[in-house]
Amino acid sequence: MVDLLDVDHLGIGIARGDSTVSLVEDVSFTIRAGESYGIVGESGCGKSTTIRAIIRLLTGKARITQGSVRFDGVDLAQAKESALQSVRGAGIGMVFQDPLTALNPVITVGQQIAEGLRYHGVRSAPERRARMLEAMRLVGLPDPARIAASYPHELSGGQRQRAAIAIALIASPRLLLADEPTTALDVTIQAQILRLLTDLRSRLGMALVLVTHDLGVVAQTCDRVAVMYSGRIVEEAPIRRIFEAPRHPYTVALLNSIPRGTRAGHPLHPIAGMPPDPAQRPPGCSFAPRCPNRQEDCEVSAPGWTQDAGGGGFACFHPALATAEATHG
Amino acid sequence: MAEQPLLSVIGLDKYFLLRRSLVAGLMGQPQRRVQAARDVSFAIGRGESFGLVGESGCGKTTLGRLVLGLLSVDDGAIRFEGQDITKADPASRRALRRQMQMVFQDPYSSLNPRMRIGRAIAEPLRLHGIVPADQVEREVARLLERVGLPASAANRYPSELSGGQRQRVGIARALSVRPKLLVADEAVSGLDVSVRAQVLNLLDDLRRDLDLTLLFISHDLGVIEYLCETVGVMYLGTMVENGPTSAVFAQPAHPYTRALLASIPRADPTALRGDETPLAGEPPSPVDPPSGCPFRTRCPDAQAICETPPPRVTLPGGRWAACHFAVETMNAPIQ
Repeated sequence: MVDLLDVDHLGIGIARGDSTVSLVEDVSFTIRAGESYGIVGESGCGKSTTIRAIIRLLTGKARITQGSVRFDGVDLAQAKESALQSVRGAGIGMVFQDPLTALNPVITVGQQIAEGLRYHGVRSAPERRARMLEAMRLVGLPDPARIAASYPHELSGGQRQRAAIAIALIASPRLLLADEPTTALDVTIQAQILRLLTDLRSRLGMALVLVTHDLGVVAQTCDRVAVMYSGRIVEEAPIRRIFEAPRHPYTVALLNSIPRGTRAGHPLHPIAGMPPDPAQRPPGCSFAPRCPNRQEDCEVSAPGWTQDAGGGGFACFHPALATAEATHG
Repeated sequence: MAEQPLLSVIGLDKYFLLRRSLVAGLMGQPQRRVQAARDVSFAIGRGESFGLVGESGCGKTTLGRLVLGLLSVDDGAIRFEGQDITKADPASRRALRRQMQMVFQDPYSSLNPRMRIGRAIAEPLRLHGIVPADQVEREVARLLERVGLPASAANRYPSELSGGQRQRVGIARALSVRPKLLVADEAVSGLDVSVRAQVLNLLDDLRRDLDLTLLFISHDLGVIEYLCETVGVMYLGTMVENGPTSAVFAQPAHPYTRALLASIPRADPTALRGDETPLAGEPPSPVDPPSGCPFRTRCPDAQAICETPPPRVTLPGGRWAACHFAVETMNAPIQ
């Protein structure tokens, strides 16, 4: 398969006083056409910052400090704003966590869905309306004509997220970025939206990058996954390998923190302590202070990337064994 | 159960009136109301952990607040150690409040940002005269250590602590008056997985060590399964199923419980993806709930009889489900 997106040694920093605090360091991954890629990690690990940087939607004073983001041979990290405009929507669409804040409260849902077409050269209003209604049907919004005339507050949470997905899809992007798209939704509605994203991906041949804190969502939706910790990708693997034979101690610890039954049957082993403040990361591996496998070398230098035989890899000097039984449970 | 339950809720009803416009009032339109709890009954034994689970707007938070006396009851009874707290006079209410404490979802908004942690925990100790004044400081240190914080945390402000540490403070504060019942409303929902696991284990340890009874309210089925022996499933203001968690999760007897369990994204990529169709539609408005079974508008198994109120079907193993087809649902194989 062809690489659609190539993120290479991406660094993102935020100015604080005279210095720059690094939020994301040395992040590299590629997305192939049509695949589903998950980025998983806890609050503050840099997962949302990373995907926002892909289409340069960084908030506040955050800036790309290093690396490149190649999409269709163009480096989006260096591209001019006008070039980005044509990529946003038509090349890459984005769905955010909270559809209520992503939607404009005083414009009808239909207008917001159709708006993107105007920027991508669809001049005929009837055509825009026809495509808007088609997009609404595609995302499973009932009674599209009525909902098109509604305002966001008149819709339920699930319908709002469907509308936000319609906005992202209206100009037929080849890559959809979704930042915690189901986190604000109830579990039965989450199941509907995840199913919708999976269906759309196969029907439209679109690639999906899904950012989430929920390993269950990743397991059900993604082909490959990257685990982030303290601004770096610490492990990447095909979806089955990450659950069956995690190599990085953080991935192992994360998996051991999810409830999978009763305490008697499957006791949780929480990770002691907390992730470091990005302004005060320890020298060496950021996970070392909390890591059960820590040795002296972990505190000296940050571990490099070790390629894994089955695709993917990990950044650790003392990884868990490569067999499922030895590492898990 | 020979022993009297610590808490029993019997036929509880709660309505919230919706604001009516002046014109609507003058035109004699009826006052509209939301039914937050409809004929809810359940009991929690001493030392038991009871999980109340359901989606947004199902009434689980309202139920927790009714139990604590933070909201008034429209009909029904809440018995705590045999005494009906809905009819208690103000003096006995104050005494009861000490027996029941709450841990909130967001410890940041439930702690005063300008009050040091030590003072926040000392306040209820003084108010209820739990320990003599000269021992308050030592008791605060003991409570902090009990929830896994250093005694030095007493000198900090809430903003200096992480989310998990703040939730530990919320728990220490609730424990300070030595309650018998702890009501935890989405107490771990705002926490990251690794921290959530710490707080779950802490709550479970405290329950065992202090012989606490726990009413744990959550939308997260995995957390309920981990922590709670008994579960009550809520939908649109009614409890649709109640029983031992292991039995209910293994063989759900209400189609809503079944759908809820099927909707959890399992952290197992080998689990077949999307073999069970997700539940269609969204919960109806609680202002205008369907007649008969509240779930029938979304239920894959609904039939004509479901337009009549479902019976509470008693099932083996101390369980019940409010469904015309509870036995059939329970015996249907899980995909």
